[in-house]
Amino acid sequence: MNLRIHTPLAAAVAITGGLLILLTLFIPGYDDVRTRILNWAVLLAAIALLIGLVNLFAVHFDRLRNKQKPIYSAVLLIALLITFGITLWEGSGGLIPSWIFSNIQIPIETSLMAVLAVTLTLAAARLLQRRTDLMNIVFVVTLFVLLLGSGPLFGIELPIFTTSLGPYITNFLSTGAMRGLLIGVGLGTLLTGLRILIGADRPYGG
Amino acid sequence: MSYHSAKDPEEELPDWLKALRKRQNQESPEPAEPAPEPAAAPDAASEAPGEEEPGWLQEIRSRYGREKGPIEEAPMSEEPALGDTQPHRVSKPEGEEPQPEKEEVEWVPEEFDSEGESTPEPEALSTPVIEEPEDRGYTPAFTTNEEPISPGELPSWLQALRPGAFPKEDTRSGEMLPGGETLPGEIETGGPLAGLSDVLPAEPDLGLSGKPPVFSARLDVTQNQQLHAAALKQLVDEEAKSIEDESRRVALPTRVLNMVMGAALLAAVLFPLLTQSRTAVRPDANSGLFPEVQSLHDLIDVLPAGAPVLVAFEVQPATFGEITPLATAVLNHLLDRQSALVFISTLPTGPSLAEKLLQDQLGALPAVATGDYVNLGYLSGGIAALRSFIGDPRGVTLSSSQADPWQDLQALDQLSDFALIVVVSSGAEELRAWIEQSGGDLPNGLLAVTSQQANPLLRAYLQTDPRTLRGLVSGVQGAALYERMRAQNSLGSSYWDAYSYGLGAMVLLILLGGLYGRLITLRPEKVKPAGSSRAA
Repeated sequence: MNLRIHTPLAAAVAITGGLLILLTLFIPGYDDVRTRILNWAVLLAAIALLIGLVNLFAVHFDRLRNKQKPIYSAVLLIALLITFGITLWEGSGGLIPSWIFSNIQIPIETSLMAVLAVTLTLAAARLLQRRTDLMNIVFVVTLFVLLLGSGPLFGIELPIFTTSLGPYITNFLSTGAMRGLLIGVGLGTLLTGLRILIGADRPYGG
Repeated sequence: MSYHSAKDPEEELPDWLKALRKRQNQESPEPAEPAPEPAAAPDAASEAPGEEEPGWLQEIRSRYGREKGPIEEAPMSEEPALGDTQPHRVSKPEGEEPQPEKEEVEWVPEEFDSEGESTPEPEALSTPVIEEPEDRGYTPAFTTNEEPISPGELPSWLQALRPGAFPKEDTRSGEMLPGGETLPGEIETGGPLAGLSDVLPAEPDLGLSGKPPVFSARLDVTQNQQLHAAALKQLVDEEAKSIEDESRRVALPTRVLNMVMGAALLAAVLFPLLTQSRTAVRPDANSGLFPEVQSLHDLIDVLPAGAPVLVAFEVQPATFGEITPLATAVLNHLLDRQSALVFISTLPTGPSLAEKLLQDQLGALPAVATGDYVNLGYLSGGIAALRSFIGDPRGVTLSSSQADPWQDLQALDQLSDFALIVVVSSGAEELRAWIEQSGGDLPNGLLAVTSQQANPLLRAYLQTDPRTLRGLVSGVQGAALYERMRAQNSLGSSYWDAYSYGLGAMVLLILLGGLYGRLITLRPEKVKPAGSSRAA
């Protein structure tokens, strides 16, 4: 389709869909319309997931053909094809897909999270030797207060941290900062929605 | 009909042509010598036209010889009418040395020199001669025998307009009159217009000559700006230098330190798990520090038997280890209250993880063992699908392992029909989506069971009015607290000791590692011997 036709058409569809959903939220009695349109969006999202899978396969197939780190791409493609085929055959609750999920995916992701804990500990240790300006000192002090206040050290509780300093930072300072962050996110979301509705932003292209 | 006849073509000629050919053969017999080369034939014909011409051609030439002779004898310059149109002859400037004779190349015309540029001779430029072909095959329109055309008399006003009739004032601006340009009345000395007078200059700017202005390369900066620039340069240089020095000096110690710290953390976490230690003091609900956990516990504790509870299991595999003791404690409480659990997830891994948790941790309970729960499966589509599910739970498309997941839930048409909605979430974003999309549609609000990383963000929703988040429990600390509230010793209690030892090891490692790093940084560098290099 020509781009000159495609861009206004996409904008018209997006703006009309957004306005329609917005109106059904304000005007009672049109819940069926909203549900139907949202179901269309759900189906489109599922198709987009499938397209992403095809794109992933194509990218790594090209890398394998061009010999750009072919081992990783080959492993990925083989694992993808095997898992996809078996899951299609047995279903997601089948014996082999469940075994793959429990014995490969969960241990790998959990291990990465454990490595993240070690990496953050190393980063905090290096922070003390890099720079000693005011903000770094504030950061390190806050870190120690929260660590000491989140539980006993080697089974020994430090009451001043667990009952006073730690909860104060968590309930007041941190919550206040998060409220400000949430208000900012809400305003940004509202502004983004309005810009899309008036056609100022076109994230769908054009 | 064949075009290739066997007859002699001479026999098919008409009689008059045969007679003409016969007479030509009698007058000019064929030469005994062979015919000359085709390439040389034109030259030979032009040099001696009367010697090799056939008889019939000589007859035609003698018949029209009267017109041909005078044309060859009359030079073009003698024609008065055309003489005025010829360009003026330009005399060669004095002092100009004669050009050396050029080496002649047979295939190169005389108009081109050896460099390939057209450099016609001055004589040829000044007086171009129109050569008449000697044997042209037409009758010329004008001959010298005719009466010459008398020049017409121009009116006085037209004569005044002729170039060079009288000196004119130069009306051009100074920019168009650079130094060596021709002035009105002068004759053009070069180019295709050589010999003509009063011509406009083709490119006036080409004649411009002069030294271009010189601009200073120095910036006009103030002393303050120079100081800032020097400070910035010093800052950048120090950054590059420090990175290079540190990477060279602490490469090996850092590697060893990383391994030691990782091993120490692992040992600190594994020790209480292997020894089944329960020495760490568990958090106390009566301290008043955890009202959100107490609220969640109380809401579950008053549920009637058989009340439907929707559990949104938004858990990623990476945090499944942290979520497991916490979700186990809460689900155990729900199952003890004989709640009818209904699971759903907006993450692809959610339903499988929920199933794994139920079978691994709560498989001994009768409700789980008999499969007395419903797993609606994966709700694809993100926030849009979630909004659609909240508006019409039965209208959305679900990917479930069960054929008809709503078969046992006939009494549930809306989300508000559930007695409780518990969101088990790895991060804050999934729970925030549930809170924002459900809004005021849920009279009982939501209960949250989350990872510790989501706790700071979700605390902001605990104090809203009306309360959308009515209870929150998070992390290993929340699991230990919840088990203590229910007087149980399960995963939360055993993990709590490992958490305590790991926390202590982490604090110590950060302190010791930072101190070690400061000592290395403050250590004076060794003085290198003269002549040594980095490569050596």
